[in-house]
Amino acid sequence: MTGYVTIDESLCKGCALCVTVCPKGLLQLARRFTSKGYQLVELIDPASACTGCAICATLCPEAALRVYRTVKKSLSLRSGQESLSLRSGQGDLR
Amino acid sequence: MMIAPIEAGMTLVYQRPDTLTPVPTHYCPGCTHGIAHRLVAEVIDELGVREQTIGVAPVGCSVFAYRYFNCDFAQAAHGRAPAMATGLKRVNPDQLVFTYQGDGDLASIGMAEIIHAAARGENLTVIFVNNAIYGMTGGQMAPTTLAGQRTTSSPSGRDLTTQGYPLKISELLSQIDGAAYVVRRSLHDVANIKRAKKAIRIAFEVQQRGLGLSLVELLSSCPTNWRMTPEAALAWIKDEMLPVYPLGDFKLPMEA
Amino acid sequence: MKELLRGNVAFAEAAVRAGCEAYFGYPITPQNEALEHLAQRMPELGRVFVQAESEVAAINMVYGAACAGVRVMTSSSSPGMSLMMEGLSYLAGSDVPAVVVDIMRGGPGLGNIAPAQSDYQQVVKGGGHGDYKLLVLAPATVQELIDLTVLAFDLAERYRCVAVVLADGSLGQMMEPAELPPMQPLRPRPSWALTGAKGRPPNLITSIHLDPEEEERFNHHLQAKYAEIKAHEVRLVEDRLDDARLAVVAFGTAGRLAQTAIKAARAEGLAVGLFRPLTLYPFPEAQLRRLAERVEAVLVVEMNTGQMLEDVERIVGGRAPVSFFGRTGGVMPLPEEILSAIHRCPQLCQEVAR
Repeated sequence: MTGYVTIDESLCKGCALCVTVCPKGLLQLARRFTSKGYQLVELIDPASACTGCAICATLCPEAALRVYRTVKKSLSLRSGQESLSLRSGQGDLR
Repeated sequence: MMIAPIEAGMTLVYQRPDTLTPVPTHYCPGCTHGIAHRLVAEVIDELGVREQTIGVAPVGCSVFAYRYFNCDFAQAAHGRAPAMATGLKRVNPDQLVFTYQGDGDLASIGMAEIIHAAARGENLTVIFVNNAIYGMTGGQMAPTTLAGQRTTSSPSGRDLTTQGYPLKISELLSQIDGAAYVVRRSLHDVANIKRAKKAIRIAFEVQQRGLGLSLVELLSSCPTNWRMTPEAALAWIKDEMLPVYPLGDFKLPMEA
Repeated sequence: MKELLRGNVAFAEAAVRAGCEAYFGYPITPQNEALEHLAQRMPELGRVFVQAESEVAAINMVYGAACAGVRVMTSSSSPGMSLMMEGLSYLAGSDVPAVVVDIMRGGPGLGNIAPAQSDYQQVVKGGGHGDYKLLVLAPATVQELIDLTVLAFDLAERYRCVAVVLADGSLGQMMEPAELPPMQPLRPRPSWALTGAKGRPPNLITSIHLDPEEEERFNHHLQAKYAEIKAHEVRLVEDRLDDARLAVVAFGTAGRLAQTAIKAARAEGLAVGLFRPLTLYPFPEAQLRRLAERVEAVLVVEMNTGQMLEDVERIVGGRAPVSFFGRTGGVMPLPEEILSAIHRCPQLCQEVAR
């Protein structure tokens, strides 16, 4: 398993742009609705195919997605730095 | 998944930028305003300038932009944001002042203000959201509406002979000496969104270096008033808007 | 120490002395000397001067700088004031201070560049959309123009409102000996200002209140502010009214011309006095009402077709007959003409015939 996304239910409006762009088709409109009546999006990833590419988050107009990824430690052993460099919004979405 | 991603050894690699407030927006589902706001907020975060940024909100769908940005904000009259921003910046030269304007605001009632802010070389950053329509007021024709495009005030499609031609704002402003950075980008797909973010960052850096007016025109969608799904609206940008509003760099800074 | 000063230059320099940090203006006759003086002075002092592309832009630049919490001013003339009405409504709706000087000219439309009092209703009643008022000061001499400009900054700041100095082309153009105040230091930025949210929560300055009840509450707040202004800021010049049988009500240059006529009338033995408001908003209503109870007649003299007249009629409320004499279009009423109007007042006729 290398990637995972969560969707903030207070922000998602079910526009489904993330659904259309996920390269692996792992996002779907759920059968659940938010309190505002929007149909939620959910990650359906039984085979753990998500790579945490964050393309969904790039498209999301509500910034409702959080993206997680398993990050390999670099061989140059700069202790603890490499996982921090991709933190929350401070790097390009790769 | 059964256990939390962090516990599974994953790293959080993307979350909402700090400069965006935790407030759900009033924008329609799939509206690219949300993407534009997010990109601006990400840039402000990355540059570390949240505490020295002042935004000016327009009249238009983004009239409430100030609800979504965690920095000082002023609300301008329709079209007047560049003038208001001029006042704000001239007396706060160390702050970063940006306007966020739609096409009805900037390219119609606000034409004099944007041209003259550029002419004066005001050190401002303008985020120009061009969706070829008046969104907030219900979908009327805008100066950037395409030939033949149906809107509520061009119900048979924009007739060039009686309703004029679309205005190419980036091209127009690039003629002005005081404009330092004038580029057109698009928000219709991932690659273009990433390029748009880079341009927004450069625009703020141009202001930091006091080089003159920076403007990033963002081709954007209006699914509701275009009567399309969000996905179809993004495709419409690519298929219909790009030929009329080509992407590119129309003015780049000349550094001393 | 007095110097010979042109009105437009005097108010511009008075603003500088009062700590005006930014000026945004547009050329319009008959106030251009102010713009030109500040084009020189503000950069000299490291302050902000911008000649905007229009009065619309100028007032919005004022709005921006006002949001940043600095003392800021623009000046214009009647057609430019019309253009600024949107901006003035926004300023009023945002609780930010600013000073505007209106050097009035003939109208309506393009009118002419000669002095008139064309803008009483436009300015004193707010002018733009919505339930708001501008604080309006009406000088009649170059010295008053200086003093009221300084006062305008103080009052605008105290009440977070727009203060207008309402003068006319003759006052803007005339040269008189007057004394400028000493240079004041620049003010620190208030806590509500937009200066970058460093170490504090972000500030927001807006005039939109989408929820009607919230908008109503904001309007009540404005009305409470205006009630304060009315209670404390009325200013008035009363001359020879103690034993007057006829009160001439006039402001600005018309008041000054009326004063000459009144001197002549007094020399003829007529009991005439002058009621000259210095604040048109807040209008000295209580004082006028009391005066109307003891005089036999009121004569309003204006350089228009009767704008303040409507307020005077309302305030006098039938306690005394109100008549009017005015010249408009830029024609200035001469003291002799005003004297003739005084003579025509029926209540005084018997005296004149005697």
